[in-house]
Amino acid sequence: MTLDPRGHLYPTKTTEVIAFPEDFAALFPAPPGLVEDVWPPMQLFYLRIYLGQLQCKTIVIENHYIDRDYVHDMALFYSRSLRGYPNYCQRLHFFREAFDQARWKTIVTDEAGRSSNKAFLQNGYLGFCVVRPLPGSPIGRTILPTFGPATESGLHREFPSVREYTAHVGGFELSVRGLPFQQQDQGVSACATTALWSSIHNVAQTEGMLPPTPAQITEAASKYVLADGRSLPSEGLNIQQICEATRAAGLEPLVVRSVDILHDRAQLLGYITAGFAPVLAIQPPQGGVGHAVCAVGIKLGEILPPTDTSILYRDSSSALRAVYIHDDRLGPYAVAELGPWTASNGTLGTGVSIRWPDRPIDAQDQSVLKAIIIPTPAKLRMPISRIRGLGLALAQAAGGLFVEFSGRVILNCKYVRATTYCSAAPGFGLSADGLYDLQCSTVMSRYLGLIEISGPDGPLFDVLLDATETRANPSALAFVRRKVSENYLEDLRVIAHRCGAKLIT
Amino acid sequence: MNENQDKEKSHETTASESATESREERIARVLESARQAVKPIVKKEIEGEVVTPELFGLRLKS
Repeated sequence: MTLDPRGHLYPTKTTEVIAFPEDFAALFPAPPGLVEDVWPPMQLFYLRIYLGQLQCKTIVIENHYIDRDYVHDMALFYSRSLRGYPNYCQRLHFFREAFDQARWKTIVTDEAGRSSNKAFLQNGYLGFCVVRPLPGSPIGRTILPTFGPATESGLHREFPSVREYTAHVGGFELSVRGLPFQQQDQGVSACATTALWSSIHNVAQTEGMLPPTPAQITEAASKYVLADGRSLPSEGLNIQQICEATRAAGLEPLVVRSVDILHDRAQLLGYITAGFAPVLAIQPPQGGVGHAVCAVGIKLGEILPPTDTSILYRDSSSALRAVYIHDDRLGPYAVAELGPWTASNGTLGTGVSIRWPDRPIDAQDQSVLKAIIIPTPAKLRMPISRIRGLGLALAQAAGGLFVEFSGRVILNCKYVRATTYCSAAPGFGLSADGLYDLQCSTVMSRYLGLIEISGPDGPLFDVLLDATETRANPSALAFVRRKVSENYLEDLRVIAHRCGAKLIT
Repeated sequence: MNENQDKEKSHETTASESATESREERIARVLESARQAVKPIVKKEIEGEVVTPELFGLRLKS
């Protein structure tokens, strides 16, 4: 006899095309035995609804796909299991256009029509979902596009932390803008690991780093601190471990404690609009073990007037109604509405109501925000709170000085990369000398703290802060005139001078 | 004539400096008043920077 020729054969590869099924979950075989959790899992239900709303018509299934994130999970954890988990996954590509297997073959093989076929695929491409060979938690790295900027109720959506990803199938390179989502596998990663993994993806690209895999995050988080007795299977992370894993990835964790709805909205708006995707630590109102989600977008309404009559400006953060989150219990871009919350002992906080697709928000979907954790580049040292500290005073002063805008001056604080700001500057209406001064004679940190003071018709002036400093007050680099009237220029020059900055006009 | 021009120039400078001073004083007043008005809000902003060991230890798993 001869032994089984194990390891001699390569897996076979097929690429199949199917119509998007009404019962999407039926594509995924139920695990054998008595399933501990409900089958099919909520994530499959959510994906069917989400892809249906994106008008998905066709799925192209690659039955062999090596996924970097899963391979690391495999190396760290699943390779030591008795069950022979394969080291490869399947991948589902979603398309808005309807086509079948025969048309797919033509698309792939028609050399003359390659350019138009690529355009056909790209125009209808809705991203992909890696399907892991893990019986209870198949949803691996999933990158889907977001919804458009306008909601049905007239509100506005923004997703500043999404980025472009490419996928290769059938010899075509296709792209999708999104932020990765995956289901927790409860072996290598729990909710906090996957939330941090999503959170780091965009900032890692901006900083020229390779994002860590869930396995690398769990390993780094458990290197020095263990919340429980063992690191694997993952029993979740605490906030200190999230900080450890963030540092191991080459970034710095900024932890902001939830104070109240006004404070928390301002923090979320500042960080999310700058392209960061914070991890939100939330907890049931009755306390106990918390949950982590990744905030990837915002839903904005009208900027509200101040409730205190002595305040002469409007805070742009009052427009923040909800955040879009990656919740690994649910799916990507789920809506989490924000509202004031008061504990039984009178403590104020921010309530987070996560909207599940199959039911109205009820008590079990309510949580309380405990902390916002933002992985930031090491040289970004000035928190939004410090930028706002100066911004609030300047907005109030502008409301007093610019009499025609009193009560209608709008304050917005965020970060912007210096290169982004400078490339937009030719549209600011600066004089030639002013534009030259800004572009060629003003030192800037890689990330700028940006205080935007606007009126009802647009920006009045900006204040640029050196974000490598820790305090805003002595770190103003320049005041940049936008559309503030000539009448107020000398006042603005004096304010800039008092802040130790120059005025660029 | 030169002397008259110098006197005029000197007068203009003094008036200009005086105007600048009064503008600076006015702006200083407005800024200080603004700073006082927003002080409670700024205090709340800074509160979020204080993270307790208990919060650092909050376990996130669900």
